[in-house]
Amino acid sequence: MKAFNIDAFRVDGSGKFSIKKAATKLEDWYTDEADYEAKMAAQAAEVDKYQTRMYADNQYGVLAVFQAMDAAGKDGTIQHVFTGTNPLGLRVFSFKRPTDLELDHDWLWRSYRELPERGTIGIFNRSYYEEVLVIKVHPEMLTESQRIPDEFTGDLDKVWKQRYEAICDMEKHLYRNGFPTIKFFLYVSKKEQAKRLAERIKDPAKNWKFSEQDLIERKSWGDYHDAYEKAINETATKNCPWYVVPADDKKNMRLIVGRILIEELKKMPIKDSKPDPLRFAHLQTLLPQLEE
Amino acid sequence: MKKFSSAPFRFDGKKTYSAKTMPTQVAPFYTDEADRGQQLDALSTRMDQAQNQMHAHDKHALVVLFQAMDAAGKDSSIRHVFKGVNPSRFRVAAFKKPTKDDLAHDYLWRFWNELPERGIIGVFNRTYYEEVLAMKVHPERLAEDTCIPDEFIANLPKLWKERYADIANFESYLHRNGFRVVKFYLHVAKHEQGNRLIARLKDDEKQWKLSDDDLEERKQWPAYMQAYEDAINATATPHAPWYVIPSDDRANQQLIIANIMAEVLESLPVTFPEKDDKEAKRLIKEIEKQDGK
Repeated sequence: MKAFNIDAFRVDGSGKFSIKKAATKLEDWYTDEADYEAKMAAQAAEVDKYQTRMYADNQYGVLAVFQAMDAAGKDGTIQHVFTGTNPLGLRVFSFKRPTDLELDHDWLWRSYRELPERGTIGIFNRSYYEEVLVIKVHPEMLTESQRIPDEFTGDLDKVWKQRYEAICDMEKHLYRNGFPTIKFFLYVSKKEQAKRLAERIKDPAKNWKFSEQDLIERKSWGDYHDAYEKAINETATKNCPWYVVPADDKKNMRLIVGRILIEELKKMPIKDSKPDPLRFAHLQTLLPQLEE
Repeated sequence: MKKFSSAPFRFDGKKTYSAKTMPTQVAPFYTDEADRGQQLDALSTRMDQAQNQMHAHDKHALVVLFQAMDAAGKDSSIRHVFKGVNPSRFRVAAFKKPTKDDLAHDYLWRFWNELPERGIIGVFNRTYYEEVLAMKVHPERLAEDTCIPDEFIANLPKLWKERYADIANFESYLHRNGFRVVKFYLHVAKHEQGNRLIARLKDDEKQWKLSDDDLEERKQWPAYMQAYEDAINATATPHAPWYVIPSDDRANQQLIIANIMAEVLESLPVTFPEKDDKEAKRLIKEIEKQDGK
């Protein structure tokens, strides 16, 4: 079994990402169920450790973005990787179809409102990247639902280019304020997706997850692939990298995502909390009050 | 070891809560550390399953309130009780000192903004009850820190009575919309709080949790105990009960809360929505057609 090297999944602008060459399945990172459980538990403890360090330090926050085709395992991955992390320092936000109020604003507005606070990890289940994914596959939405003025939607190529820029600018701004963005693309094969959708249809406990819209979107598989490849290449930077994670094996995917998260948290320039000596001395003067 | 029952901790308006007679410690519901861990894991699984159903059913939500004196174990309880719940369907809002924006509104406004959506467990770490707790202990803040017109703060006993009614009405309204309000008060002894504050003072890693304010508020202990008693008795109802949790033993405290949470979640009238087999067959055919099979 190979050792973890997260660089294999990292896209940070230094090389070109090709979706055709990316793998949806890799050699297992675990030997059996027990090994998987043990590794997940160990990783959860590590995530919790670094998250607690960040929480006490209270200067940095992390935005973790999850993007994928339906049934690639976004929900399950978020659930399993972050179960065990202190819920006080974690907030998951799932972006669904925009509401009327949200459509009355610019397209980054609703994401801005849900950004994490310092000391916490904010998880976006789907994100502003849908603006250059689903909207790119269905550009009629630009005028129909988003109501962007005509003069800004005349040249579509320009629209996407400007959107990539707007995203990069926002992520750069966040980075310089102490909020690095880590972006995950969970990459599932079309065949594996079919299997999972069929499971949802057959299993009453999973029915609620299924929508007929999934089948309609599935017809545009090729267009989505092109949109993902382009979006990833245009927005992958050293400070805000993409990670393309093979998603055909759910357990493997969770182990990889957890490891990436740990490595990213670990390298943040946070020192273990050391009290200010002046404050420490002051606090000690309060002790007699409590010891009476 | 006694079998768990939530009854001794539950206040729903039928019995009166007394801070003096309510214990801060009860016989443990666990035999040792390993047993405690196993019980918490099993409760986590029960909560997660019931939560899954609530989310699929998509009509109910839980609003879980945590109130307590400092160092009574709010943060650690939230952390340990809910750590097995799917984080996508769980949210904590911690309420600190109100901002200028908050104060520019009525006192419930900032809480409305943080209510969970259907299918979600929303935890409030401190709550609108501070408006009849800290505020009642320091009524001068009504005039100094808030912008409530003078005519409404002239008669203080009336003000508290009206606030209890506001809160009870708000909670009934939420209940009728599918949002269950579950209220935890973590009841800790003053000497145990003293021990914990000392531990925070001495521990490098815990010092950031401590503020001088904690010691100031400690001087008002009896006033706080009275305010809690009044608030609990005025707002305990069958649909939005208070649970008073003995909190001197953290392990026991967490087990009691987890047991109550599992019980509340499992009591919701929810089921998985079903689809018919014919429809399932049609959809699977559609996928096969797409893949050229």
